[in-house]
Amino acid sequence: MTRAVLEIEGLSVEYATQKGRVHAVTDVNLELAEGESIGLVGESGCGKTTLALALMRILADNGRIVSGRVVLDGEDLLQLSEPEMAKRRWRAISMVFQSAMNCLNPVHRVADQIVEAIMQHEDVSPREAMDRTRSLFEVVGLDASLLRRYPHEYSGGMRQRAVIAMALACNPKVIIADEPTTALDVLVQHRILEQLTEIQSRRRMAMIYISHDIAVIAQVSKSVGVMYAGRLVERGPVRETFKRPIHPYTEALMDSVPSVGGEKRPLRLLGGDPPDLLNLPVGCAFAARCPRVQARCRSEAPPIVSYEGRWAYCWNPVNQP
Amino acid sequence: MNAIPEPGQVPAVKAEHLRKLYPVGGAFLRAPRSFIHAVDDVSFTVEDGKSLGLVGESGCGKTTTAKMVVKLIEPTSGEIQVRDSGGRAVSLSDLDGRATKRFRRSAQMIYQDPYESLNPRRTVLDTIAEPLVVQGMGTFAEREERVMSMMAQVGLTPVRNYLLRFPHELSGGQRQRVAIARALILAPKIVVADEPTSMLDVSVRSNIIQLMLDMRDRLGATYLYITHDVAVARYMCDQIAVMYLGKIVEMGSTEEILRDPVHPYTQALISAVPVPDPEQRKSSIAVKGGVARPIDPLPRCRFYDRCPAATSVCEESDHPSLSARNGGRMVACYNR
Amino acid sequence: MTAGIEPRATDRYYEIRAGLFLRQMRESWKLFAESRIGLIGIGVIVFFGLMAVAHPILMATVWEYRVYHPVIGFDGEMVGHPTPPSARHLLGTDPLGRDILSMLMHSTQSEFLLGIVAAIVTVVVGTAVGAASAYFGGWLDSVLMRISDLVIMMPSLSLYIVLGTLFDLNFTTLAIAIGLVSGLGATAVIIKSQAMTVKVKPYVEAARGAGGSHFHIITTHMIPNLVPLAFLYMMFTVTGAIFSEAVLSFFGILNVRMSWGIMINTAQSSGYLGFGLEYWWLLVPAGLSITLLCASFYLVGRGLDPVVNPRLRRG
Repeated sequence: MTRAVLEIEGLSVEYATQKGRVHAVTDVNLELAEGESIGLVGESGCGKTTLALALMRILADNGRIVSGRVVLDGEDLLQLSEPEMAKRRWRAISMVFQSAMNCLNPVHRVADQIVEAIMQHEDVSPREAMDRTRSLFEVVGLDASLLRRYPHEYSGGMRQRAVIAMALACNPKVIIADEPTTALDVLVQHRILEQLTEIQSRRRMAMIYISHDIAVIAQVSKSVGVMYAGRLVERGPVRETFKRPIHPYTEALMDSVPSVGGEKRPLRLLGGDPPDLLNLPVGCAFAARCPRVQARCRSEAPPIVSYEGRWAYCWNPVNQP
Repeated sequence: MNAIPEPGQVPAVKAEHLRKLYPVGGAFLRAPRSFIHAVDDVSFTVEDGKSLGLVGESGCGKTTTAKMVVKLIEPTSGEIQVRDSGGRAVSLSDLDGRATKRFRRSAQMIYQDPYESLNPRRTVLDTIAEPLVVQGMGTFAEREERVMSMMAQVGLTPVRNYLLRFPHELSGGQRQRVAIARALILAPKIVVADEPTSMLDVSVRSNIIQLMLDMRDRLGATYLYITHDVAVARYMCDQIAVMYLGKIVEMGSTEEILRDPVHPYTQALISAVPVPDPEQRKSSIAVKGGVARPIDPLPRCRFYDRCPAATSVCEESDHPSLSARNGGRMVACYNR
Repeated sequence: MTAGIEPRATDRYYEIRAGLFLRQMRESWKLFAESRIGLIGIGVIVFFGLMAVAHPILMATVWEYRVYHPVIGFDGEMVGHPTPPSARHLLGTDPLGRDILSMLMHSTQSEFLLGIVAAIVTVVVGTAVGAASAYFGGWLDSVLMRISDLVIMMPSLSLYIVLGTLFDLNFTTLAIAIGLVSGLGATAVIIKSQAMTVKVKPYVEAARGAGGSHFHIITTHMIPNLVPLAFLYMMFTVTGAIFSEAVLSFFGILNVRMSWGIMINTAQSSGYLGFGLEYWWLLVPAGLSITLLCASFYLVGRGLDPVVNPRLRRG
């Protein structure tokens, strides 16, 4: 393991709503080494996007980071003033959003938008910025003829590529990708995922890839973090986690993916709904839906089970060392 | 599906040479200059109680094809025959207004986006009861009875908690259950499902797939299942037809196609599906470019531009027609 | 999540419906009340409403018919009309010796009548035209939209002046004219653009796929999704109607006996304008009322905006 480039310690985020405080992210701990990529998986509302927004410090107005540290290269991002943080965004940490169309200004050429982003963050000449944009286009697999085009002339896949190019523009150390391919066709998704993984490993960036689809995560990253009700409940390498998941929720998620190859196994049905984030249960948040639930799961917070460089929070793990 | 129907056995749906062209560039009093060939010479048969998956990327014509089967879109040319309650084949183009309304009792559609397919101002009860209301079936009390029993069947329980909710008070999975209940309340014989799980979370998705399977068994309905995800098709469909730019390029039993895809496009599509198990991952098949729009397509194989195995035959000849291969498989390719 | 109302077997259909309707109203009200401007608007409207209601009561009790009648009253005990405000005439008298407050309150009734009729005509015409145009398309759409273009193109005030010289316009006919202009013009176009987005929703296709007639689809799916927006534009129509009436009355084109516009017209025709604020009571009460009532309906419209357009809602 190389040194950690990003360390998240005890991060908790809340949203203030009319009905009360929504505990969107609770006590998340995560370390990311240089060049490492992790996939965060979970159902909608599990806090994975909120976590990403908190790392970028671009939460909605009613969102608040309650506690925790986000240390990037030895510097706690949460302690920085807003202008200082603004300098880190794009350069140190950047993000690819789910809806590409909302990230591109429809009245400006795509290349101009990337050039502008580069010049805002780095002291370079327009020519230099344009050159870099051109090579970024090449990196993400966009034709140079598209440089002079407007976003509406791009297809969905091209737009997503342009947004990835923009996120890469200032050579960030950490890149967060929030379901960048969900709206795309299978073949396009496949190509973009391949390219993204390739760029990530070549540039030795750390990447956090967010998706609700565990199969996509298996394709882009070597390790996986499973989120449930705002908590990171399991973390480990994809291969081991798939073969021998520790947390029952991870197992359920794996088994509910329809398989295309190999034997056709019956789909696992996970009943019930995630808990109300306004009002989290005392013990394990998954207890109400867990097939392996025990009495103490409902009353006491689960302990950490860890072995072989992976861990999970569970009283009654599916697999043990 | 290509087997000759048993004597006296009329297939539930039989589509022949379906074609749907949309004009582009036309204006007031000016003829359109070109046409989008959304669906171009598509033929298939679905036996009673079976399910056919229409698989392909966006813009391949799968939704247009399916909507023609339930008579929501009129084909430009070609014919669709469905099996009526008496077991005879009826051509959809022969139906007049009254007969169409009657046909609608037996053919229903489920939509992709549960956030758009429910009227935000109508309650669950209103929405599910709507087909009964427009078909003039039952009194208010009888309809309520039927709606409640249907809600129980699709898993919207306890029923009374959901009956008078509005869509914005439901989760995505619950909304899709409402949409399914609305489509199935008339006990249709033909159900067209347009990617009903693609907007849902993985864990919810498996529940909806299971629900659709259960309801198929209960109704004995014939399904036309539209999806871009071959993995989902594997669970839902006995047979699949892979479509590309308005054409069926490969058709056959789902398991066989997944095990041994013949057409290069089918191979690429299957290899691109993300697999959760890193050990199962196969090498992917590279396909160039993206899906074009089928505006006045050139007389050559539709997949020519992107095909990794294209030869000069593919460019010089018209799009290949479907031809039978081993085990009843139909493939439209010159080289395979 | 708001819990559904538990229906019991004994509940009647219409009771359930009413309950749901009330619930929706309560939620809408909460949203509306969040914006202060809407509440201010309502407050002003209620104030004028009370004035309108109070007038006949005052006439029947404390105000002597001969002296305080808004049109034919004359106070012979005061010398040299117009007189400035006094205990006897809280807002003074006009050049013809009539009580300004009584005229003001009496006119309020007419303004409400005008506004409400114009608004109803606007909503009915605008929704019908917009929905039909969007739903059926084709030649019907072309014809209706060309009519809209024509109506929008015409300067409405000049149109009313022409109508006023050709016909005998009173409050009701003017209200209908204003309602038609607004309903056929801008409102129809706005409703149509909204209707176009509703028309392509899968639930509309699902209704068709269930065998629903055009009438069923328009009445159960299109119009309920359009009425809130029409309601919003109804508020703006009221503002326009009151304003237009004031202008037309000022020019003496309408066949009405008393209105805020006529009050200003009287001051002008008797030669009392142009002296700065020396005769302010002839001008300010009527002018301020026109401004306030116009503004209040506009504010209510603004307050309704977040109720009608969910995308404006916060969080």
